[in-house]
Amino acid sequence: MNSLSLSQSFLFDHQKPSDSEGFGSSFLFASNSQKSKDNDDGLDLAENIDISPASLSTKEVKLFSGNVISLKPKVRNIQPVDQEFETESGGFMDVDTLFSKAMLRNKIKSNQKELQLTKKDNKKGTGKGNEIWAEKYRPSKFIDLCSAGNDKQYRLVLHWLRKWNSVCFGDAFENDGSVDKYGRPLRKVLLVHGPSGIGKTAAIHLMAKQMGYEVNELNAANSVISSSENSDTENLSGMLKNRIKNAMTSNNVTDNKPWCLVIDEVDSCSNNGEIIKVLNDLVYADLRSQDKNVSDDKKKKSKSFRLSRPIICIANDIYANNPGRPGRNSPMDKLRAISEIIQFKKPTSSKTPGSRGGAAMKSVKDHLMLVNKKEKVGLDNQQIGEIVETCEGDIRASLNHLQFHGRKLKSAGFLNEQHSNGINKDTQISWFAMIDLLFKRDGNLTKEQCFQNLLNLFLSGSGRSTVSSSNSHDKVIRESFNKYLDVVNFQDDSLVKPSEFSDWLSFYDNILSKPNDDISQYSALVNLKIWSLFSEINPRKIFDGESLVPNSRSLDFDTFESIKQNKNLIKTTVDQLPLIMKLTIGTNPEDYASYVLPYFNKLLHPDVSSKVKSNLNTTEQKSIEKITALVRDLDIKLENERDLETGKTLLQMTPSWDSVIYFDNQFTSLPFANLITQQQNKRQNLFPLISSELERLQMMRKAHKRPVLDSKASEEKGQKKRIKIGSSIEFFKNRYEGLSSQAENSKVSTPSETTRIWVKYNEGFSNAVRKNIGWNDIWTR
Amino acid sequence: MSLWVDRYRPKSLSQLTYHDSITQNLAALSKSGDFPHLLVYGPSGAGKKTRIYSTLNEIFGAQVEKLKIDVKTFTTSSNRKLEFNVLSSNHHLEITPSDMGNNDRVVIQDLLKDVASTEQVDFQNSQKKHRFKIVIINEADSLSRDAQAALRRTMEKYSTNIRLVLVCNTISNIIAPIKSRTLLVRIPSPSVHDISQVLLKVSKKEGLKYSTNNEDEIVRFLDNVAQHANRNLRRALLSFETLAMQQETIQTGNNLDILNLDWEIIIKNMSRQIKTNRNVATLAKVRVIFYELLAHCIPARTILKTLLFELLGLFDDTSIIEGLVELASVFDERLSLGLKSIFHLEGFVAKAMVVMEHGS
Repeated sequence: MNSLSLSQSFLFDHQKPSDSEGFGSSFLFASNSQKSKDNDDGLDLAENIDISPASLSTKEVKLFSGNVISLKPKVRNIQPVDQEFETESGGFMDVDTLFSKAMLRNKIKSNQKELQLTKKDNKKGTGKGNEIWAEKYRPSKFIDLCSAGNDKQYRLVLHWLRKWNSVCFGDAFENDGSVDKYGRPLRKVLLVHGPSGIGKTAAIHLMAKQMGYEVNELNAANSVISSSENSDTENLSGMLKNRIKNAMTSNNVTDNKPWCLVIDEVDSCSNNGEIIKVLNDLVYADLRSQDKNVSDDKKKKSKSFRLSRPIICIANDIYANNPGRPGRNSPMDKLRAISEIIQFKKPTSSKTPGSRGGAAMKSVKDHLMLVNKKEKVGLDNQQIGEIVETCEGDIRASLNHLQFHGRKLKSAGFLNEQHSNGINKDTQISWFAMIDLLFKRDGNLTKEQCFQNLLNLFLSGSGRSTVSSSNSHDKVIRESFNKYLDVVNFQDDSLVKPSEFSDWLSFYDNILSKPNDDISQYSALVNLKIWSLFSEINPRKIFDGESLVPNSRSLDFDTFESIKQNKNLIKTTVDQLPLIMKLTIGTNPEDYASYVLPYFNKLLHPDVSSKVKSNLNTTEQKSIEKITALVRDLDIKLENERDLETGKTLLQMTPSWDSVIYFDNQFTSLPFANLITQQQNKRQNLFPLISSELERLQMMRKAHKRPVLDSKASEEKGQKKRIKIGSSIEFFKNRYEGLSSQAENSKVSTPSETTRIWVKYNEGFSNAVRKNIGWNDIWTR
Repeated sequence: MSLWVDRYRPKSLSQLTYHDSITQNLAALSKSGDFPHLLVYGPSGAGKKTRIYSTLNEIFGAQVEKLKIDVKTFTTSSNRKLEFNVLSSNHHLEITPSDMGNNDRVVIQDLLKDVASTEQVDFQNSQKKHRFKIVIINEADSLSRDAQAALRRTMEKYSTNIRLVLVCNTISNIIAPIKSRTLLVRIPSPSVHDISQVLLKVSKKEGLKYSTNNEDEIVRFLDNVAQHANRNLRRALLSFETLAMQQETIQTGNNLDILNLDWEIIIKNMSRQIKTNRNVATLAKVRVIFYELLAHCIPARTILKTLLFELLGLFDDTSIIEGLVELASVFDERLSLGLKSIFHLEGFVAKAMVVMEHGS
């Protein structure tokens, strides 16, 4: 009764008895303090101090019984469990109560967790619109990763990363030729490149995590911050070096995982020159230390630097030149030289045949479909397909597209019928919708009306913006070029239309090459011409595998890429040529591609009957000598390379010209595979011969050098001897003393050596101080 | 010096074998002591550079063969650093403008100014009074209009100190003012006979064995080799060396298959296909091939030219031949003006098919 009334009064005193928990605690506290008051003043005091360190105002309350007690305001953050525990801390504890308390505590904890979780969820729910889907759906597990046709590349990356296990995690390794003696891959830097938005960064991050690394990212943004803070440019590369070195040697502090250094956007970093220089330095320092360790394994191992963490660089264009530095001095060249290169590819269009392209595209679509479902955008498969086509397989762009245009697609209708009817003219027609438009004719209207509609579209309507932006217009023309053969094939299979079209294409090309000309405003005419030539009332859908040109859309891009690659190859070859050869053959890359390199290749691969030199006849021996000279002049390296796919060992000459020389199509004299095997067979014989010949030459050169060296050395030795004998006056003094001591010992006899003194005298000193010195002069000193 | 192209390159004017009238002119030029600006043009493998260096050799002596590579740096208008390799000796320097991309104007101007401002001091043969330095510009036809315009003034201004030698394949891309300021020297391709004489000489020096001792037969065989190399001496020498490498004694019979280049075979097969199957499907196939050829850095105009000659070989009808040649010339122009080679190559094939259709 007493305690109850007490608690009530307590409640009244406190205006805010908000929730049940608070009530409970206040109740407990009140009764508790009452008890303690009755029992022990000291405890009360202690509790006061315990519970409310800050001095709180107490209140005097008169009870019915006449007692006056002082009340303290409740402290709310006291947990009831603790309170109970406190009260019983003096005696033994009951196991049951302890257990129940523990249970209670756990329950509270879990409840709190749940509460927090729901709160977070709510937050996410409200902030949904703010998050970009491309970030939101960034894959977090390997399984989530959208393959997009890059499965093979993923495997290669994982393969490369796995080779680091022995260094980073201390696994055992097998030396099968693809790793060095520490079990690291031969090339210490991995360079991943490919067009933007296909998940390079995401994939690399994921895979590094998958393999147990912590990613340490360096990108265009954070690598420059350091430079702006510290404008001292000399320090900069040192700082970078330190940073990279730290990442190389340490583990993450929190979970002790080894770092994996990921350098994103190497090609577009403003200071990529420095980054690459640092990498280069590190790799070469590593190489040096390796060499040193071979020679003296025990000595100063601690000092020599060893790369011990994987470095992965990501770039869009590995042939990028710094705009100011054309050609051979671009930093990317250096990077390429030291790194293992893996190219990520864009998923190719689904309209082209080939299982690879189709599957890649499908995986992207499935990925988008998933997002579509999760976000309840409600697009169907075809629309998703269109989005992917518009973005040309760029997954990130597709996601953005889906997020920001998705609703509109649904409501306004994205399909081109609406456009051609004149509705919704403000928006731009996407380029592939334009293509459909160009190859289609409305059956309900006459040809003139259709043409008029189209003309209006280009002059004032939505078509104008598509055409006026050269980028999208180029896509339209290119795609029409890819498509028209198929269309004509089904129409009448005559060649009149293609030949007429070629004139218009050249007109377009003319505009393209002179972008600032007045004529460029007429570029839309090409589209009209396409329509009048190829349009049909019911255009046939061209399905996968039916197209006359396989992979037509990616063909153009692939060609562009390989032209770049081959040009670069030729350039490096030409740069390596000895000067005199450069003079005779010239530096024109086209000459090299069309006949110089093919003939070089033929020269380097004669038929040889045996691997052993002694078995060869004289002409073959001669040709081997010649090849060897050529190999040395051209600075070709003979290498064994292991193909990851097939596991076969290939004999390679680096630089390898195969991509320039060999063709792979139906019109070649021999199939591509035959050519390669033929080449390999020849190399089987040739390589040992050439390398032994190279060694022989080296020996010969050494042998040729040695006599010269020897004679020089002996000459020097002789000189030294003579100098030792008679370099200064000291000598004479010594001689004198020696002689005098000898004289003392009454053994005055000068050996025949003394004559040498006179020879020496003429040699070392200039004639300016020449003076005849006789025996007497010496003795009288 | 392992290749025959290197080993048997003439070093002086007296060693040159063909185009005697040109050689005499050059000799006269070098004797006169003065030297005009030169514009040397002609097809590749005709011996342009060889003649230039022989002339320089005549003027300055063997020192011009002592080459070294300098790296020069330039600053462009946008304050970017340009690094650029220059091949040079004491008396001349050689540049290739295609190395410098869009900045060729700046580089040419700065470089020439730089060279011109330091007067050539030569104590040893001062009696000869060669107070100028030679600047050889390779691939002058790929110089941009701007660069050419910059050249024309520089050529006059610094003419006391430098002499330019422009080397190019055609002069159609060179602007008229430059043509008028230079002495044009055309070096045509050597005739088949010229080349076979050179090859004969080389084979004698190398001590090659032939399957016959009949001199005429050997010459006929060498004529074939020369013909096969499209009268390009450099190519002829390379291919001849390849041939000699493969066989101990050279069979003068008809086996030049080993010299065939893959891309030429491809174009040959393609031309047959074009003749027999004139339809859109072929056009599609041909496009794929064109893409591959382009990817292998075979220049589009070379493809067009080779294709034309292969096609011409397949027809006897003069009207078709006329039509094809006319088409080819039109498309050659389009190729050199435009950027998208594939459009024009395919266009040529389409139109050629139409011409064949009408002719036959």
